[in-house]
Amino acid sequence: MPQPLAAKSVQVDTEALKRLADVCANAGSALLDTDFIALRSAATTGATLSALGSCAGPATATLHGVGARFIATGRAIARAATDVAATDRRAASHLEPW
Amino acid sequence: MRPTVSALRRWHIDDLAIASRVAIQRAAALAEQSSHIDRGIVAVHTWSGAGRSAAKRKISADADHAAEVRAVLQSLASTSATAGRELTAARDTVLREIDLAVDEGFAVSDTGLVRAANDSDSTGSDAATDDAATDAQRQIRENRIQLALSSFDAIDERHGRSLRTHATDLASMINGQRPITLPDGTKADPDAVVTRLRGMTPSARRTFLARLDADAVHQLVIADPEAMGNLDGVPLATRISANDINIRNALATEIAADRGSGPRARKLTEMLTPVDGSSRTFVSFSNTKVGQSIELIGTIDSSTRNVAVYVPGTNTNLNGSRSNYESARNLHRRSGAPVFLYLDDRLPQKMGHENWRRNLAVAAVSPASAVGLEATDLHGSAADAGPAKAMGADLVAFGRELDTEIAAVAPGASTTYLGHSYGGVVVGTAEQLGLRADRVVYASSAGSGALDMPWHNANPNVARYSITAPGDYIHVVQSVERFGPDPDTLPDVTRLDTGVYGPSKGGGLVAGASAHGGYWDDPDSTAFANLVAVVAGEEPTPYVARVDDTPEPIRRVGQASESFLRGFLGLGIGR
Repeated sequence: MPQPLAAKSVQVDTEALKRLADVCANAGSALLDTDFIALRSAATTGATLSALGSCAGPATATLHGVGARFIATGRAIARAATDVAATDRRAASHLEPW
Repeated sequence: MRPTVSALRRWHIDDLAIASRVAIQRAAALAEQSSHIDRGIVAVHTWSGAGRSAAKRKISADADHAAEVRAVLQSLASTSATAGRELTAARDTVLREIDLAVDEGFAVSDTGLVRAANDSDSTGSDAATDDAATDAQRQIRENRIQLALSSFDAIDERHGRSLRTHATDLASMINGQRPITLPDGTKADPDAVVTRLRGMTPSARRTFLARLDADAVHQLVIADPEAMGNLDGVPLATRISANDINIRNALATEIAADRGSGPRARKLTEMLTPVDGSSRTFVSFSNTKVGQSIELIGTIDSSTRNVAVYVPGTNTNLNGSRSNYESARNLHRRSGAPVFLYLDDRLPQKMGHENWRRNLAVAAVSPASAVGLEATDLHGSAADAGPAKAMGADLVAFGRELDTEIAAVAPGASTTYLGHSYGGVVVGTAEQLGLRADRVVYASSAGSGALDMPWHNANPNVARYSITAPGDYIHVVQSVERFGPDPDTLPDVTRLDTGVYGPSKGGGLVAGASAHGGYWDDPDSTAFANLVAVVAGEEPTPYVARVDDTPEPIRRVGQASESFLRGFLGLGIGR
């Protein structure tokens, strides 16, 4: 995928970014706390009920996969906020009176 | 594998309904968490630059993955619910057959074999006759139990296969949906393929999809059920499974927005509730404000001889479509033909004359202002030709889809298009634009088409009918010819008898203002029987004039309306 050109103007509220990172992390955690154990029938006789039971593991793993992606996105945004803040401080240091 | 009777009794079939609810809850949770993030990035409006763009792309990709997982969970919920319902009914049948055998004195083994419980005390030839009769009855009971067990087994295997497919889907999409294999052997992202499909003509789409295997098409449904449920060229069976997901997603959205007990949620729940043990099937669905859906009532298969498409009129919307559904269902029941109930969300939701008193008062002071107000009122109303033109073109495309489906599944079956009121104008406009139909019915139709051109039905032998009750105010609209000539008086159009209502409606004449739609609600009326006859390819009865079409009160309203409408419409508003 082609990378976008660097923006000519940049505006960042790093606190807002951290809040967004938290939203992502919380959303991901909520999914990691969820499972599909209830799909496992007490009786696994027959094709339907045994197949239903076989959905529980993959469904949980997939839901957790989505949750993990949300968390990873949150971490990336948090890192971006930290990087931007550091860059801003470094930029300021270049311009301090000397 | 066929279950034993004792195993069957122990099955926890109720677990399937529980599983369905769990899958729905998890799908809703997934949507909720995904929407939190969507709202989160929108809220960060102080962020601009390449970083924000990259974050939006990442969040969009995550949301797409979440939507795909959600689609599988909704399918899983649907399969589980259907399996629970069908297995319960099948088990009840097995147990009922066993009870009947036991009641007749037979013993039933765990594998469903039937034997006489006690030896007979009879002797001689009478005993031999009795034994033969008993054995014949035993055989009948055994056959019925064996058939019921086999039927249960077939249902179990079918749903087991579907659920295993869901398990495979879920296992393969932990980090994202797997690519599909195209006919040339290359791999492609399902989202990208759907994007390609959107850019194709229906015919190219159909050809492309026909070359994919069933799993690849299934993956496309998971990737984008909204597109796959509504694009022409996608096979109807695929559209139906995609729209089952779309309706479930729409219901989840309503519940998440605290509208779970609102009219739309109630309607969506109704749409997901089986009728006579069968799931309802939708070949188009969009959860818009007015609501759009095309429901197939009945099934199209090799035994189908006739198919009908019913386009209702002004003020029809999804939430309030119960009576239209009942009419379509009655049409299906009585004619034996599958019926499409065509609910287009562009159908006018107002008559256009609601503010006429205000506009006349304004006209006395400022005619120009009144014209502006009237133009606004007429836009999108029952007096506006615009919606009919747009819908007519789409109905032609839908007709092509239907013809393709019929050619593949039910070759030789004939089609009937019925348009009621404004829906008649839609059907007429479609005919002007080249709709192919075997039979067309203009029912209490506001006209014969919204365009200034003759009909160009692709079938030169199309049979056309009209049906309008005497005393229906639609005669006023027909006489103004706002939407083309009056279909009741056109040559080569057979006006059908409206006759009388059935006994449950009092048996009176189908006449007057209430008769505009009254006969659609009475399957025992002469008028409805004539609709059924046309759909079934039978001979309907021609119109019998019993009273004047436009009695004096209607004539007076007609004259007033005509001069009023001509005053405004003459200024170029609308058509």
